[in-house]
Amino acid sequence: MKKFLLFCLALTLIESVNYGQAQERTVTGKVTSVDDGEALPGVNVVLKGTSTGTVTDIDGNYSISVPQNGGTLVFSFIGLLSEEIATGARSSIDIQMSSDVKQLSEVVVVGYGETRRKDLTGSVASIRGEVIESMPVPGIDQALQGRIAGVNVIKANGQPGGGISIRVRGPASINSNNQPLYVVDGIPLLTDDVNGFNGGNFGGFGGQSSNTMSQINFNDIESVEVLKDASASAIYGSRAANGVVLITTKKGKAGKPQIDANYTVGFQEVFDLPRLANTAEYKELLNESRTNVGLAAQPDDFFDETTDVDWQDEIFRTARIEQFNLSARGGSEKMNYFASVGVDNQEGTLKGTDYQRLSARLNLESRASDKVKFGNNLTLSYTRDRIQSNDNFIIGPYYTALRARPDLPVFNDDGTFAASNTFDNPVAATTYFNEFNNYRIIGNAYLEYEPIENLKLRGSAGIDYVNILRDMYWPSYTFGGGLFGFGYAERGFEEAIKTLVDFTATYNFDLGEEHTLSVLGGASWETFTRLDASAGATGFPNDILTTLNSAATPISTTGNATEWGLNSFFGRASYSFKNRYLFNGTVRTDGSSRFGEDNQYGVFPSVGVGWRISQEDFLSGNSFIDDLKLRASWGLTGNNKIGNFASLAQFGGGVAYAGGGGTIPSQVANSELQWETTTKYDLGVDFSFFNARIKGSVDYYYNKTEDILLTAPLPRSSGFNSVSQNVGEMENRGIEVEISGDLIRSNDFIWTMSGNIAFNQNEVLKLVDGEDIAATGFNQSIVREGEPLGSFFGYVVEGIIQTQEELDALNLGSSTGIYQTSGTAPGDFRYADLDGDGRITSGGDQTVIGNAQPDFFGGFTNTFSYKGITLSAFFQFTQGNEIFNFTRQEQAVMENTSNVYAEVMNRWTPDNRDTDLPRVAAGDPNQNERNSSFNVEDGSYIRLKTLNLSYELPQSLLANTFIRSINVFAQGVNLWTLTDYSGADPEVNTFGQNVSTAQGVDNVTYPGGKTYTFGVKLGL
Amino acid sequence: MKRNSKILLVFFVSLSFYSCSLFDTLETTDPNNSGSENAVLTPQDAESVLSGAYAAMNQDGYYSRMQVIYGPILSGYMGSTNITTRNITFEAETNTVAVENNTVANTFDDVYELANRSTNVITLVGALEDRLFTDPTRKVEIIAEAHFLRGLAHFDALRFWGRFWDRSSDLGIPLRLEPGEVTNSDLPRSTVEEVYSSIMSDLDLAIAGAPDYSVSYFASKLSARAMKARVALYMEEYEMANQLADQVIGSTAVALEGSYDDIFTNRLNSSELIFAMFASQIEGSGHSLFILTPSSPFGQGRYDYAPTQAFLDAIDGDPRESVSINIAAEGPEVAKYPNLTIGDDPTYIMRLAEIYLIKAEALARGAGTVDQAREALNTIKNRAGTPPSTATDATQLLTEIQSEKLLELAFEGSHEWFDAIRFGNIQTIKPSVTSENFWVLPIPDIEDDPNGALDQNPGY
Repeated sequence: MKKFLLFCLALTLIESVNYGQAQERTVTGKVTSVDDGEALPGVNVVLKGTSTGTVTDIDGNYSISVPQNGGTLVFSFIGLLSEEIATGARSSIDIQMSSDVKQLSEVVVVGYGETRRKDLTGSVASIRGEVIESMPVPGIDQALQGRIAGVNVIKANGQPGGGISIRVRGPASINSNNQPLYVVDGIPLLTDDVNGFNGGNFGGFGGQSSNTMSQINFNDIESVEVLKDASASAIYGSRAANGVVLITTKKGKAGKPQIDANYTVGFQEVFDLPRLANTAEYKELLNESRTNVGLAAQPDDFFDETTDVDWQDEIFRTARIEQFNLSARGGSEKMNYFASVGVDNQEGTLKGTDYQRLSARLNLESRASDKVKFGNNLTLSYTRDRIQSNDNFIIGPYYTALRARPDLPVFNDDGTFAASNTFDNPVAATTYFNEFNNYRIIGNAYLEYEPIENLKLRGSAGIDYVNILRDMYWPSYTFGGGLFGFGYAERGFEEAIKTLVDFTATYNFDLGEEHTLSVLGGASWETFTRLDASAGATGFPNDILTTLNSAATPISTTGNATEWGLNSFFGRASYSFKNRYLFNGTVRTDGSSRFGEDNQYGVFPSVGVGWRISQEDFLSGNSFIDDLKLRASWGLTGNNKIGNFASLAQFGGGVAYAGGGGTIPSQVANSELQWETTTKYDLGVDFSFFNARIKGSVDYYYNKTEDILLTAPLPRSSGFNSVSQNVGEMENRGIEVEISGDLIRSNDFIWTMSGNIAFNQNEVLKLVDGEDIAATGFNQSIVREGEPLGSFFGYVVEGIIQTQEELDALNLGSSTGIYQTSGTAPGDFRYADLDGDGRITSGGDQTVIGNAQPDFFGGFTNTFSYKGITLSAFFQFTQGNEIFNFTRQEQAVMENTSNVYAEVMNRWTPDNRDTDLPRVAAGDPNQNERNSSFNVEDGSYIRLKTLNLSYELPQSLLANTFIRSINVFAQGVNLWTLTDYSGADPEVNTFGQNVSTAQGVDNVTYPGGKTYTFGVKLGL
Repeated sequence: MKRNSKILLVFFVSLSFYSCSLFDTLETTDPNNSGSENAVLTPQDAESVLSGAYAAMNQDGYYSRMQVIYGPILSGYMGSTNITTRNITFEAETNTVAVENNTVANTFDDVYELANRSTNVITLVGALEDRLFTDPTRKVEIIAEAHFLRGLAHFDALRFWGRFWDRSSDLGIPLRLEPGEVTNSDLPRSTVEEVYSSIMSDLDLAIAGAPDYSVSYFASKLSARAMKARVALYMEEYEMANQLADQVIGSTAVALEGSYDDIFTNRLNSSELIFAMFASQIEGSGHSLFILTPSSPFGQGRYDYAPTQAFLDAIDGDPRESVSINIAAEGPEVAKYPNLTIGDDPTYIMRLAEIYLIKAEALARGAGTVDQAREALNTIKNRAGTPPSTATDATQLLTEIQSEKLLELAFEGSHEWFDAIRFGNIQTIKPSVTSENFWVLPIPDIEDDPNGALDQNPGY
């Protein structure tokens, strides 16, 4: 220990300054190690709240001046836990310091246990809760964006509390959602099994989906671990193919109660939106679009030139954000607790949208005796999402705002909403009432018993429960509210319940000095059920009495239910020899109700090995390597999101003959149906140099997914069309780098930097008979062998046809005399004739024109601390992904009375030929709006994700108060972005987190914004 | 160590005990669907699964529309009216149907859905214990009705995709005699003789077990006999066809309508209807939408298919012309399915008139004398109000029988096409039928591609 600390001393930059001060006395003492009692040289000793400080000498002795009335001494050293000691009247203070587990012996949470980072053979990324606390975002998943190498976090839209897509090392499946498994305090969450916003008797609100992770208050989170490779994740078996996110909430600590309060307030503004044409521009463009195709210009009285409405301005607002958290933490040797309450209110920048969370947590643990321990983790939360239709939904406020004529007013003279050329006046469209009230309980209770030394038995039971009450009222003056009668209301619920029971036994073998062996065995049982029902009605007396009882006419009722179950057995053996050679083996057997009866149980093994080179004799004398470890792992993981009943032969209803209801075979059995299997290989190196001044890890991985569930056609003489079969294959390979370092480390000033970057290559290897699969959406995406998932598909724009001669020449080359369409004219896009048949056809001239997978992505943070002031800047970036921009596809082409972007003023005309925007033409005879390379844009960006300035009040000011600490801070989110993307926000994913095949689409999607918040943290 | 092991053992033994009882999480049920083992447990379930089989007829590719459209188009008595008409029309008009033709594919799909559903009825209801039924004969009836439907499906499949005119041919069709499963999905072709034999066996079981005739839209002993008469005629078993026709004609359950137009007025309640596809406002049929003109007095149709001049010429002057055809502003339209507004036109799968014509043909082809045959033919001619036949030799009589079937049964079930093939004059009637290969449709690619046991029809 001493030797180790000596070279640390040599490397540590120390500024120690002694200033003489009046009325002082001297305190002396000796610092020793709690581990071996040896003296600790080079330890910083600082009088808290001052710049007075010194370091211990070679024998661990120090001497420091303190005021007559004493003060608090802070003892700190890299790799050791800091200690604060109040001197009182003492003149001699000896202390013992212990190693800081966060540094060299950092403990990480792994599946069904925890381990020291140095003993890991797998790839596990950790984030401490404090890194992300007070971020003004609703969910932990969003807060992780850019923080972890290889974890790509993509926001769907600007709806606060909206869905977030997370990909750990790329997508492992084609048709399932590829979200990781979330486990909170040992409870696998029901995240994937909730419909959320997708309820609604009319099929939802565009591509939006709710984010069940936003129902968890992330200020309660102690740490987040992302299990990436097989060695780390395979113990979660058939649910681990897309990685596992372990969330550990804060636990009590022995000691007097610590009360923390945290208040944040601020506002959010939508990103700069591309400008829409104003009335004068609109008139010019509309008339030209008509005259271009031989129609008469609109008469002047068609336009109201005295009106000029910026509809985007009308529907967006400066949105208020407010968060408050209060927690208490403490305990005794026998019992400890963590309790919290939190409030989070976030308006959306789009009027009529907001998000609210109320949450409470109580984590208790009691040590009843030396052998018995029990406790619970429990959180209750209520979240309320108010949303509007979005994403190309015809009654969506953003959709209508982009299309509404600027020369029509918002209101009539009598104060009612004026008529619009769109289905709804955009401002009226923000008055639809769509509210989701989510009641969530996540909790478990556990009992641990140590019958003999080294054997620990643990049993626990938990639930994850969510009840979502949907409350909708569409006012009579809206399009949706007038569709069936006077107003439309819908009330519905969705209830999802996960139960979990598990048992584990852990035994640590006593094999002498050089060997350690720990084994774990366990079993778990999970069930899930979901029901939903909803009823809609119309015929209300007015827009105030809106209960279903007030309605005259029922419109629709729906109801559904489903369930699944999982039985699992699992084990792990961890062995190390001489603290150098590490071996870790896991196995899990998952039996699932979803699997076919011939494959009901799947086995998922993994093997990981590690070599801590830094422990070898030949490196032991080395002065700069603290830790150096090589890791390798292999294992099988699965994806069980194959549908709850896909393997069964089924009979359904829905047909009738001569008035008699009939049942018919609706699904053919596939008794062999099983999970999708991902084989994961990982090679990694972990390093820590110069006394942890630089540390990090590098990983290379190769993940191959086989048995991907696809629909294979059956001969029709079977009576069925198709059967779900495990036939597809896909791979992901990549490199991840995580590095952090303390660039400057002095008494007063610390500059730390950390960053991560990941390169992932995804390729679809095998589909049914090599046939493409059309993806969700509007034919903009395709799944094709040899291409990455999320590939875009369409025509290739070669440019704009400049002259009639050019067009004639093209038509001459066509067997039908028409190259594109009969209405094509100069100024229209010219599409590439890829198959060379002289004509543009949908079959031959569409190709892959981009994809949504980034080449690399990551983030980096710079933190500067000077005394109590900390400035932290966190950048996040993605490079090489493309966006299919439907929003611009429609807004850059004037084809009817819908408004367009002002950039269309730069359209092609005979006098303006040097442009990439086609002519305006009513009816779009050339179909310039077809899916083409014109719509595919570079979605790369780098963004100042958070900028945080905080000030910690000096302890000296608080010395005689009841206050433990005060921290004030200001924070900005998304303040600066560098991108070529023409839309408002390159963080966009119209189809949400549940669609993997059509990522990276922007279809009139509610953009995000910039957030400014100010807050104070108070410790008592 | 030993003690530790014991504790572990006790721990896991108790776990496995739990896993057997408390925590059996793998048994789940889908509340929207019943598994095949739960689909038919009660007599009511048996009725439902039988209704599901009948409902397979009322599909767009089958008796709801295409079954009455293909034959007239393939044989030239119907054509497409505009370029938006679906692809079948072009290809069937020129007798060059492609394997990718998705209208034909839909029909193949629908026909085999009927076959598979009725096979499921036979299997699942057959497994029910008799004691569950208050009247055990109902179980026998349900199974017998399913046999009738399966025979019907296989016969229709044979007529469109198999060489039904040649009992020695290997080119029959796949027979769906077991409920469809992944493991038995690649059905090979059965020979024409095997297919006929299976159909006859199904119809015999139907004759033995089906209920007596009560309504036209459920299978009965009578409809099974009538269908068997038709199949026997196709098999060139004329004695059998004649005997069965006599049994049907002798039945008191059905009788010829007094006049031709009464059939299409009384519709499902027509006294001469032996078997029909049920249709109502709720269970609407599809033919009227596609055959009626936008200006039709019967309702606004799409007018995709119109009678051709060949048909107008054939029926010109016949009293049945005004019942079969209406001259709308856009042109002639088929008038047998006029209830577009309500959508409750049935499909007339078997009428007593056809049985008289089966009898006439069977007699003329050797089961009796020319006089007997002419008498049967004239029953229909008299009812239609046309001059009786005076033919004295079989050849001439057969010519008259064929044209009588065309006029009597036009647009009712593709008799136009199948008869022309059986009478051997399709290539004269429709010169674009250039060889025997095109007397059948191609096996659709959605069957041919995934089915490793089946070869395409020659010529496609």
